[in-house]
Amino acid sequence: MTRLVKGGSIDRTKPLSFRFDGREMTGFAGDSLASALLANGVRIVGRSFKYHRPRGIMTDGPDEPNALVTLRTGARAEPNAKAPVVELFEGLEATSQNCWPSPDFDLMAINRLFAPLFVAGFYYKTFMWPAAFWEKVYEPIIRRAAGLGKLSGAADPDSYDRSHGFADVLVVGAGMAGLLAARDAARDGQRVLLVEADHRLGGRLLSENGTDSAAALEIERELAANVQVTILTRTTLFGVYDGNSYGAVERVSDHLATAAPGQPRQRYWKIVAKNAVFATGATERPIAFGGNDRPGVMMASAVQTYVNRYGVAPGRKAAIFAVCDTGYAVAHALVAAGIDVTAIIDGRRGEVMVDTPVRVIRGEVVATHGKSLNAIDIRHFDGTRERIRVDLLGVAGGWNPNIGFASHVGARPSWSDALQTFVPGALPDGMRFVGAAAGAVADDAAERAAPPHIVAGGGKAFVDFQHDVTVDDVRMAEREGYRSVEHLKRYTTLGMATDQGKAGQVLGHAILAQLRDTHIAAVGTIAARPPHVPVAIGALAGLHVGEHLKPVRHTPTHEWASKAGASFVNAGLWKRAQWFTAPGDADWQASATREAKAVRRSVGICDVSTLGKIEIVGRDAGAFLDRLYTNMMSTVPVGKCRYGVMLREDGFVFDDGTVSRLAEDRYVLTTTTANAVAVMRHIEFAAQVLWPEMDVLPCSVTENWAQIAVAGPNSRALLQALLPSLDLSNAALPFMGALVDHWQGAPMRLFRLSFSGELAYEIAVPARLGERLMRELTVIGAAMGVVPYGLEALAILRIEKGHAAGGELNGQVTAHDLGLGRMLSSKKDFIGRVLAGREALTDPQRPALVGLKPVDTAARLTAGALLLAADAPLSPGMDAGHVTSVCVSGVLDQWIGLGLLSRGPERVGEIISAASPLRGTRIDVEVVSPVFFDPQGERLRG
Amino acid sequence: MDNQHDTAFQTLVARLSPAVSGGLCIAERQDIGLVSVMARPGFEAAAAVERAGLSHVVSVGPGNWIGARGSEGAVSGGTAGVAVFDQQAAFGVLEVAGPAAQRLLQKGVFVDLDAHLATDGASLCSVIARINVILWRLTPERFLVAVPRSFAASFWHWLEVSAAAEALRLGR
Repeated sequence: MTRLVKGGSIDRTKPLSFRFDGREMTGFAGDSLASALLANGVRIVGRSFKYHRPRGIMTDGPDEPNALVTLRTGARAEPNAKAPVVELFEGLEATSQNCWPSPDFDLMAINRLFAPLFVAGFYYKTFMWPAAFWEKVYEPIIRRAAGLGKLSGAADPDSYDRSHGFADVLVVGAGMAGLLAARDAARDGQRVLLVEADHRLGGRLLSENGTDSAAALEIERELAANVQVTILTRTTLFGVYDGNSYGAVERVSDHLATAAPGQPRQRYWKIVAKNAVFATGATERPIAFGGNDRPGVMMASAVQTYVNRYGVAPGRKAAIFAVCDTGYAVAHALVAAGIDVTAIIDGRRGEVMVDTPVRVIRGEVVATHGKSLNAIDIRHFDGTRERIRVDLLGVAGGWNPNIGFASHVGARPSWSDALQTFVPGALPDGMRFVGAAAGAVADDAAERAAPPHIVAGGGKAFVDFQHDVTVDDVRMAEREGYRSVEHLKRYTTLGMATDQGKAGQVLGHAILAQLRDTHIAAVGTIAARPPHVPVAIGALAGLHVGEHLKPVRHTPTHEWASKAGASFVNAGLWKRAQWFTAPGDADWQASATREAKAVRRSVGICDVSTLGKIEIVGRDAGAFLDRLYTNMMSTVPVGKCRYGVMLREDGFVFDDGTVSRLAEDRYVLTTTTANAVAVMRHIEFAAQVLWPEMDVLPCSVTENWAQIAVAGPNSRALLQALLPSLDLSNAALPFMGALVDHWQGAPMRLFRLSFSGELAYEIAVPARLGERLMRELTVIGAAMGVVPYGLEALAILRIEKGHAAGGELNGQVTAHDLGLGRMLSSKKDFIGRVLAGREALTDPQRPALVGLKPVDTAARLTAGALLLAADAPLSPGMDAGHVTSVCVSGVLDQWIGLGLLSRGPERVGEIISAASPLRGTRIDVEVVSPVFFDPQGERLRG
Repeated sequence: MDNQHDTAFQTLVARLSPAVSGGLCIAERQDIGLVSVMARPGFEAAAAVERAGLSHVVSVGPGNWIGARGSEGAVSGGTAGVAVFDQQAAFGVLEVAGPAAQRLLQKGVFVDLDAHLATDGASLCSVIARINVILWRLTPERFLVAVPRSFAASFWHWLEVSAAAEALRLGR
């Protein structure tokens, strides 16, 4: 155990048990997983990405490149969790990654023998021969070896929440700079939102002081008492977006073994703030020297955190390699904690003025030794060399202000010679960086300033630790022409790991500048992009997963249909009854056939509320509809309906439906379910943009009305029983008639329309009465054998009658193709008229609507099958159309279909082939009229 | 006649236990019947709405409002310069009441409610869980939410999950 006997702000009265690689360990409340591992003497946490080098804990924050573990097990397993930012909880289970059988003894370390192969861009230049091996051998092997950690493959058992935050001032980071910014804004009466990634406020103060800072606590109390201030801890800002908006994730339950019932694992915050203060601190910069990745080599600031905040000794015998003064403070913290600090190796040339009781060596660390650090080699500036035995080396290589958020909205960083770092450049209005994030805390700028430091010679010196990118890789990239920081990044993958180069990137750019013999300001740095830290996709999806991916729409009779045995199908967002399973139905097809037959025999009822319903009111409503539809609508008398077709501007069919005139200046039109929104948009565009001078007011009333189709020879009898006071005779309500009345005290509309070819009606009542209407029709119609029917039966009925629907209205057909050419009025203008007359759209060779009937009455016709001449080979270019819709016809007792066939209407009687390459079928079919049943329409006129 | 599904949220609200102190009280306001009101070209908009005799008016587009006429008064038709479209059955109107009502609604709606529902009677149109909604503030702790009827079940799912995530009890 390396837990110090005292110190730290952990709660030593609350021990917590956890497991790492199956080993039972103990930590305390307030520990991070990293501090608890160190306290249990764990030095090697995992293996590196390419070379499988042993790696330990290097940092104390989200910049951690090495100590990546898989957290939890089973479906909750989360790969690549950074041990320093994982809060310890009772029962935590973590496992090491990228090693087998253990991080301590990893057989995969054999990779190191092939290290010369794995240089930057190796996959572009090795594995070139033999060429045939690439796809079958090399690529599969590389892909198997790539990646860190493994996903569970199981569905995420947790839930994710979402919330919105609005503030005058968003403060990011609750170190002293952030606390002061929040306090000042709050005192100024501003609405403040303070987000802090840690579960405690204080930032670096927690690491520097070891105990709570009185000043910070006082501000925290003041903020907590102010109702204008919202403090979100365990919340990480991950992106800055346009319009002063921000994305953040609150880790609601990640510090618990499992979330409490109903509680989410994480909460996604979408935030808008007029102003944002980034008190995001700075990340300590590594130094490039041989063996700088060895477990036991740690950022000096992290050493300070583990000693002061967590009361852990990361080593027993330490040295500090520093190129700025802040390394000395760490050495002193170690001394104060009773840890032997052998030396401070100060890599700065020139005079250094720091008062310290520790031995100072003027020179550089050039090499490290041991699987876990046991010695370092030092090259003094006078040329002499020295080896000292230490098990901990703190590295103080200067600081990178955390300014990536500025780049999210296009603000480029600029280099400061005074501070020897990139600082925020010109910032957008309302964005401000303070404290260490702005380059320095006011009084210690000089102490922190240090140019990126690269030690010449030695072994592998790492720049990007997680991706195993070394100084030599940067050198090679430059030599091969990748001299821009963006090219360097992509060629070497420098900065592309889960830490996004927070620690090592600037060091890499400094090396590039050195190689190019130019100033780092001229080389520049890359633009950070969101997310600042990895974000679980689940957090962004929120509750919109699985069946809740999109909201669903239920028809007014949905509950009733569920109880009546309906199976539902998605029609856009709607759930529509597809068929109703009755006792004895062998399968869905039996249900659909039974329902369709019942309609033809007696009467059926079907909820058609999903059809778009748009009311158009105004003096010019009729003239307006004339321009929307191809046929004349202004001449429809009050109390009558007319079928209509709309074209798009390009002349193709857009939608079809009915128009009913309810009053002189009021029409109601229906659209297909699929196009309800598109047609409304089209109408609004026409009314507001094309013809604003017309007196027309369009309004969607789809939601307001339940509409039930009542179809079959007994439909009149059924409705007459429902509406005894109305005269529903042919004389009073003929085919295509409409009337307005009341049912159960509510408005009711009755239309004599037929999609099935039977005597049929559509009755509309306010949606709240839809279910009541359905129940009543069922009760009243029981004696007539009324059945509810779904979309499948609806399809059978309309295919038997040759009515075009979804399969035919595919956006590529003309009115002529559908046999509706006669509906293109020549007496008026309408949208799409001119372009519908294009040569290509009137070509007689175009596929047009036909009926299709297999010659073998037992053969199955399949939708999508290609139509060919009977003797034509099945090869590209030979098809003359395709099958658009199929069904088993109840009245013909065989498969039938509709199709679009070149010169189709002229070919009635011809035997052709329907071939489905997907199913491997080819059958002979007879081309017939699309109207299979009651071609004279006698039944619907009843 | 069994009419248990007549209104959009009837069965959903009925499943709730009685509201508890500090929780949220949910009720379906069947007394509020909504209508769409549109002003004809050339007629002054505000006067048009006034003539329609609406309460809870919210603008949903140029010359286009939704408002309440009470459950008895919702009829199609119009007066000079105004067209009225019955939408009484098109929406389910929930009243959400309780000290955390605004906090809950703010989770759903990406509009600053402190700023845009700052006064009693204020209203706005927005989206919750990808569903168009209309919000009204009755008092600082009472709000109305109008949800298109067909989306009631999905909206309710959001309501339940979001309340649970904030450890808020829903009651009636």
